Amino acid sequence: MKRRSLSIAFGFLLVVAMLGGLGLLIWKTSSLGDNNRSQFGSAVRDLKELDKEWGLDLLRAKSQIIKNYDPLSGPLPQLSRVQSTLKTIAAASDSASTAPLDAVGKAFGEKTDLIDSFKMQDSLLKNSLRFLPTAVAQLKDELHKPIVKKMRRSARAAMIATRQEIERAVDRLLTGALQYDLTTDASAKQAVEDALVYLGRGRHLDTNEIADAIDIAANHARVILRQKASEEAVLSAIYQVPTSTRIDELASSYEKVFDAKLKVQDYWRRALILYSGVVLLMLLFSAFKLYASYRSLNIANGLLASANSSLEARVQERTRELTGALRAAKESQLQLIQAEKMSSLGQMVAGVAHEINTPLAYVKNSVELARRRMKDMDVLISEGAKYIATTRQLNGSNTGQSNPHFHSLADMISDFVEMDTIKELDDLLGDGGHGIDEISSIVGHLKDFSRLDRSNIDSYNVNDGVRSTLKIAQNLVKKRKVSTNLADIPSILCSPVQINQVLLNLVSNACQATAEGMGEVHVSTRAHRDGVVIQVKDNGHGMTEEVKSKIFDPFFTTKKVGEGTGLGLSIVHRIVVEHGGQISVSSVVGQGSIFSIYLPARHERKQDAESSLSNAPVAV
Amino acid sequence: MNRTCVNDQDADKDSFLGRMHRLMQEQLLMHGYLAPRAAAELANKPTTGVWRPLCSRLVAILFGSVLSVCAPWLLADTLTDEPLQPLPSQKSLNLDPRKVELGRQLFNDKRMSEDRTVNCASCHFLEQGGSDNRKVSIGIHGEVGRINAPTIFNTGFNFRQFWDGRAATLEEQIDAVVASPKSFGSTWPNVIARLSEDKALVATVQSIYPEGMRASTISDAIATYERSLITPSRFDRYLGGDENAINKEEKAGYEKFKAYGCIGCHQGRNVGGNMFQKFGAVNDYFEKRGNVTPADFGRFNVTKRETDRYVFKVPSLRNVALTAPYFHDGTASTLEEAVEVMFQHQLGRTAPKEDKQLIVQFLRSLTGEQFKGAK
Repeated sequence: MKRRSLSIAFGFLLVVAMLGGLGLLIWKTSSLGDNNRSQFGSAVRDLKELDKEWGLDLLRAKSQIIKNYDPLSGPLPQLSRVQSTLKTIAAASDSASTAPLDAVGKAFGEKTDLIDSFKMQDSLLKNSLRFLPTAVAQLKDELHKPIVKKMRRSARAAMIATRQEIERAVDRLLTGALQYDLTTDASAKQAVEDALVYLGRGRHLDTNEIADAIDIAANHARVILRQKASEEAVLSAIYQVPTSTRIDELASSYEKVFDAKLKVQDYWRRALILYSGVVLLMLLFSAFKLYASYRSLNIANGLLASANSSLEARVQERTRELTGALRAAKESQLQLIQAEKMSSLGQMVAGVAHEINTPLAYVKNSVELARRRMKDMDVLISEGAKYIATTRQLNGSNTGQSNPHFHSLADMISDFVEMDTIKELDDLLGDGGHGIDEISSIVGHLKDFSRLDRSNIDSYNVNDGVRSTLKIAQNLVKKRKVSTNLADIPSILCSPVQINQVLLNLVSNACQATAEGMGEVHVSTRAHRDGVVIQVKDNGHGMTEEVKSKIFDPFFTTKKVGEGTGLGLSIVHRIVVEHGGQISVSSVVGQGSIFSIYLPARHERKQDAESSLSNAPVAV
Repeated sequence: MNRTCVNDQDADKDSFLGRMHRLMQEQLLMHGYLAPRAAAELANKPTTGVWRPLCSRLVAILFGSVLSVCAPWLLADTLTDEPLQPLPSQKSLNLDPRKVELGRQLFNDKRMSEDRTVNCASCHFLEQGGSDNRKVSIGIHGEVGRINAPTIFNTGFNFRQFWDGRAATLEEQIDAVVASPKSFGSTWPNVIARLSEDKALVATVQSIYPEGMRASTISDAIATYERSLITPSRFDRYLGGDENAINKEEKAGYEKFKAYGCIGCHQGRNVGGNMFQKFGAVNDYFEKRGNVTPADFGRFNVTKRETDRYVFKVPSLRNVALTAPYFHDGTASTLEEAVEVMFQHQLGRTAPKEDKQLIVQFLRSLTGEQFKGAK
């Protein structure tokens, strides 16, 4: 018991361990899906695309293809979103260093600052570039204003020359600045600076308005130079920001990480496959074992079941046999007893009949003799009477007085004569003789019935059997109307004793089934095929189907306890069967029954049946 | 090809083709695919003959169909041409109305501040252009801030928040305000603890955000509400093609605005708010004003780079007429003053008074029609 629970616990632990191993392997192989990788890849692509577009927008803004900076600030939320996505994925795929991602973030931070700076520079540059021509035009307007100041002619000419010079310088300034904006040419810058130097010197030579205008134009030209230079610097700085490189590095570093992970994962996957294979094999093995044990169990079960059922069948068979044998034994024992009884009764009857025959013969002789001598008595009496009468005539009246014997004789004789006593005696003797005849007839029938005077198997006319049976059963038959219809039938080879017993049984049953006075019993015989059919018909109470089905069973009786043995019809059945015959019954309740017996003329196995009957009690 | 006849049109007034023609013109006008002037020309060009009007009308219909098919592309093209861009429609922002409503409640919730005296709306009156009309704002315990409160309107279109751009998003801006000792002077755990006592509010937050009440969800709700606060103006309608949305002076002012270079920084759909610029880019501002404080260092405070000293986020000029006083220091009390300062220090030039006045008039056309004046 303890071992069993131990092994169950061990098995449970084994299963848990196996499942745990499987779970671990599955987790190891699925913790890093391709999903992460593809998400990371697409985020990196997004980032690159954004970066590229950003760079293009920068150029567009610079060359004024786009006229506001919304496209330059627009990508900022997207950039931070993509970066945080990358960060999330990177954090999810552990063990990867965040350095490449930080580098990307740093590069983009740098680029953002530089682009902010670019916008600052660019807006100022554009402002000045836009304004410089106006400023120059305003300056020229001032220069072209008539000189109101009173001065000498030469001075006025010099001032005009100066103004022209200034105008030329301003033109140089403008063209130089615009050229510088376009080409970033050092010579253009030099030209602007030269012009600025010249203008710086010449600003206080004329009116204050001109000086202010010069200042404004110069200021914006300077702004252009400065801003252009710084914008160029910012732009080159922007292009040097290694966002693209950093993104590539990030991609490749994570590619490496993912590859390494993939390798590990691959290793785990292989382990998983191997493990699954082993587990599968184990499962298959145990399934096979289970199947095998199930099968052998099944076979054993089947065997057991069939053994069980055959045993049961055998037991049943045996029981049946035993019951049958027991019944047969009981039956045959009783039948034997009955047969014995009958046979000893028959022997006794035959013995009695034989013993009675002899005394009967001389009683018969004596009675006949006595009857014959009665004539002598009659003669005697008549002679005596004649004597008395004669005497009386002779002696008169007093003859007799003298002799008393004479008187008593005369009285006796006269009584005899008067009472006809001789006739009476003769009749009595005649009756006695008749009775004796009856007795000898009965004795003869008894002898016939028991047939002890004949061999067991004999050629026998059933009609004789019917007659003697009816004679024997006279007492029973007495109060019923018995009729017979005995056809001319062939003799059959049979045991007459047994056949007579069959007939007696049937006739007595028929009589018992009918009421006294009203009962009618009809016995008929006829030839049928190669044998004889005997029919015993009554108008008695009949039988139900249930009763009918049991009438040939031994010990079945409808009579009161003590009145019947319940063996009669079973003996009939057995005798008929032993003679190779058949017995059938048809019966209607309240109308009567008909027993029909067919007996073949010859029955080959009669001898065997005889022996089986006698041996039956032994065969158990 | 765009020829039709007034007389002919009158004659055909009730004909099917005539009606179709007018319908097409109306449609084109309505969608701004056709400048009203062009449409007027289209309708008024005289023509003669019998077949011509019919043909020209058919051609006009055909042209109209082609135009409506190509309209999005054409539209995009025309609008990128202008340095100023109309605001997108509120619908196109796809904001969750439940978050907007929750944000509105929180925006007006004084539990957000440590002493329960101020909320977001204390400095951003929707009735006053989304600002507080003070030189500098006042926080908890009557703490006087260092800087002028910018408008809350259209802040979703600013590329960064605060004058110095230290917050990249509205959410970060809210974080900073909650923590700032001169604003709400609180902490998120305090705010959350306080708000969590309000079971109804907790349930509302829970119904919108499965993760429940957190700093991130509260700031998201407020930020979403702030993003919804956009103020389309008459000028936006003008950009959308409604010629008559602004008057002649305002149109002229817009031209001046562009011509003088204001547009250099104040551009895009938010008329600014998408770049940094040095205050006093051309002529030094702080030297002239004097009394320089760290608040004047601007972006330098964030980056510590010398080039970022005095650099500020270029503010949006939307609703500028309502958000006086101006600049981070609130020194300019009128729009005219502010324009003058800009001319001097940012543009480094002078302009006739009339031109500046026109610019001011243009700026007034940027006032949102939705939140104009007291509610």
